Amino acid sequence: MKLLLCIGGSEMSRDTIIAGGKIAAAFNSDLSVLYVGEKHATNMTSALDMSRMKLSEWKIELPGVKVLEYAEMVLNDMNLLEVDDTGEIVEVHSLKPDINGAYELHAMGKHGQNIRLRLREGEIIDEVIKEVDVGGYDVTIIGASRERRLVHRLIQFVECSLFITKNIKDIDYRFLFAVDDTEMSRKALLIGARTANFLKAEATLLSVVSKESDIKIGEECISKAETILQKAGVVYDKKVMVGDPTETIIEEAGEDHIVVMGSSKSSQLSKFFKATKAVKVVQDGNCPVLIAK
Amino acid sequence: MIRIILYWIDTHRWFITAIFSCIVLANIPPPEGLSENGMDVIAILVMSTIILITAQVPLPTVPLLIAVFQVLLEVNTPKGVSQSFMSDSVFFIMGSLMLAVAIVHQKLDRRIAYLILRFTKGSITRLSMGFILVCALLASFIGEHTVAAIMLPVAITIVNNIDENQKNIRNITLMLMFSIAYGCAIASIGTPSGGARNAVMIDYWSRLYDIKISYIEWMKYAYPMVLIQIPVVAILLRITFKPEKVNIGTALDKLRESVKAEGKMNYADWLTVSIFLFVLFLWVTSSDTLGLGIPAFIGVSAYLAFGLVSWEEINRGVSWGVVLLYGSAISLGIAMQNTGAASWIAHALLSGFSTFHLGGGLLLMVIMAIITMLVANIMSHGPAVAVLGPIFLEVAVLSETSVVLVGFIIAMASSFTYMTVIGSPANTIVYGSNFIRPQDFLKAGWKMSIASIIILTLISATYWQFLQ
Repeated sequence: MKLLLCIGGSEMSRDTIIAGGKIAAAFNSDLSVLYVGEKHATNMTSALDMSRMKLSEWKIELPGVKVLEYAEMVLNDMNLLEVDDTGEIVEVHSLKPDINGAYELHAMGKHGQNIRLRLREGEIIDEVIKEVDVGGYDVTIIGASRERRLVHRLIQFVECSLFITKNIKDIDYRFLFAVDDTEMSRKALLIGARTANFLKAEATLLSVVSKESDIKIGEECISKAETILQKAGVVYDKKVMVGDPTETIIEEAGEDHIVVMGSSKSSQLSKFFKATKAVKVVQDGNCPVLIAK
Repeated sequence: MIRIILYWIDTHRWFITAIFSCIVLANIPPPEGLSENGMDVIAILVMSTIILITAQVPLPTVPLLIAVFQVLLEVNTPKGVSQSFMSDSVFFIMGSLMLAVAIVHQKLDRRIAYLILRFTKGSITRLSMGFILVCALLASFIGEHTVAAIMLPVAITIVNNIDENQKNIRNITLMLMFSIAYGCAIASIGTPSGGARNAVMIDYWSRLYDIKISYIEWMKYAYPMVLIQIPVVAILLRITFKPEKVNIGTALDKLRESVKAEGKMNYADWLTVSIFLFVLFLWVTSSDTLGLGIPAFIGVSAYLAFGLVSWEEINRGVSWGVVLLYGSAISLGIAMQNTGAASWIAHALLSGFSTFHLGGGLLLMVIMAIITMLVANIMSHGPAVAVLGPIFLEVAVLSETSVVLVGFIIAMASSFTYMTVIGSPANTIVYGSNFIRPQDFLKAGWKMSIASIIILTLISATYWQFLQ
């Protein structure tokens, strides 16, 4: 499994880095930490390159490098990185430009995983999409943008599962599995159950149906989901509710749940023009959301 | 597949809008007084402006599309378009960018750092003044992006030596960063070689109105403005960013000694300076016969012949897209003039001005200066001159105002890019250091904008009248 963790700066990304580090440890997976520096106009590129050449002559680091160094420090504090006898982090290679379109520092994890710290420049969503395309990641962990359109674009165009760390805090979250009868919902359960087990978190299985007569269908969805949680050893309770799915999920989640749900089965064209349930939960809710694709 | 198509549409919606606008405008009947080809050129202008501002495709796409659409819409022949793209000014822009790469590859920055530190003597105000002076003097001759690239590491090293914790000296940091950005901005209009847009204006005068302005004549009009603005920048920055420490005592002594030892001029540095001074000498004395491009090429050839810079370094360092952009801007300006599009827009603008009783003369020039300044802050100074130049020069003709004075007004006001990151390469370079937030540009920027407009108005009303 390969995880991509996108961060937006130094200190303010600490909680996101810790959350990503814990998930990487849970799955014993490869982890890439990506920082996207600001996009500059293309007519300024040569001038900026000239400036960077001079900065390196004076041994002044590029601005984004400090962010990567901070991420490396936090991951090391979490005891995720391999260190040598002198306590120095073991690096496969130090910071190098042009590794699959980014500056990259490649370190080793405690269990032999690849830990990469990567620096790109451009529009954040575009660069994340490019990074997922070249890196073949299974899950991308990213903070939520305040711009509703960016959230919409992110969920539609990033081609792997997404963990959106909206309003993430250092608390013990419960998992809220919003289940239905789709394949994506099952995939969400598989990823979420394993994470919940590692974090020793309890869970709620929630099925929302639009009318009273559909309650039986909701119970069937819950019943299928229970098997997966039981196998993963997750302690859970269950609810079938009637109402608008988005509003109900947001209300049930509050601020202390991680919502786990599958991506919509609607067509790409439909998703382009209309926000899906997952998009609305991220936009209007106030908690982290894991969307399986 | 559909995801890829939708993603492309989503990330190129403004580009699509620009092309669509061009096609629609070129196919609707032109308004009264405007020829069909004039309407086609306006369509290309609208398309180029939308693409430049929204930047959803690489910048060199704009000049390529300007050439393509001129031929497709039958505004000009392929031969005519290619000829209109190349001129002495484009040679000059190309040569100046190559000279800049050669100069940046030397170690002159350590020497400059030593000179500034020697001048400083522990005073923050003198330190800021030193940066403004050096930037203003250098950037008036060798292009602001070169100077900003050379000066930025000097400023960051000094800031780090004053206090490692940035938060303790935020105002001092901003003061030094803006000393570079604004020092370069005010200087970039000092001589034709200060900025590519100056060469564009010389080309407009020459090819549209047959007016020849030499290097030294440009300096006569423009350099006093540079000199007057130097103390203004220093004072406004000192007032806006009140330094946390006025005297930094011996904090920089160690740094001064270190750059003194490392920054001794070697033969390559002397040769670099000598070749550039020779080019400058040719610009000043022989621009009537040699033009501006050929002296720059002489200099670049000398740098290459003496091994001071390699062709690979020049190839990497020159933004060929920028060269193309200026070529296309001049080409579009000529097309606007030839098809009557510039004259039609100028008529419309003038009738708008007269509705508001704004008349002509000095007031008109001030309005043009303010518009140029605002547009330059939004789409950067080069494109602002390229787009507004042919129109405002035609406004000058119609309102019987001096084409030369209006040309200088446009060129100078385009350097008042104090308020945005993208206004000038120097702004982008200092912003790229991550020490400045976008909103910091407004703190001193609005004061500088007002001061510069006032100074420009006074100079055009007094000093320039004596030169006419």
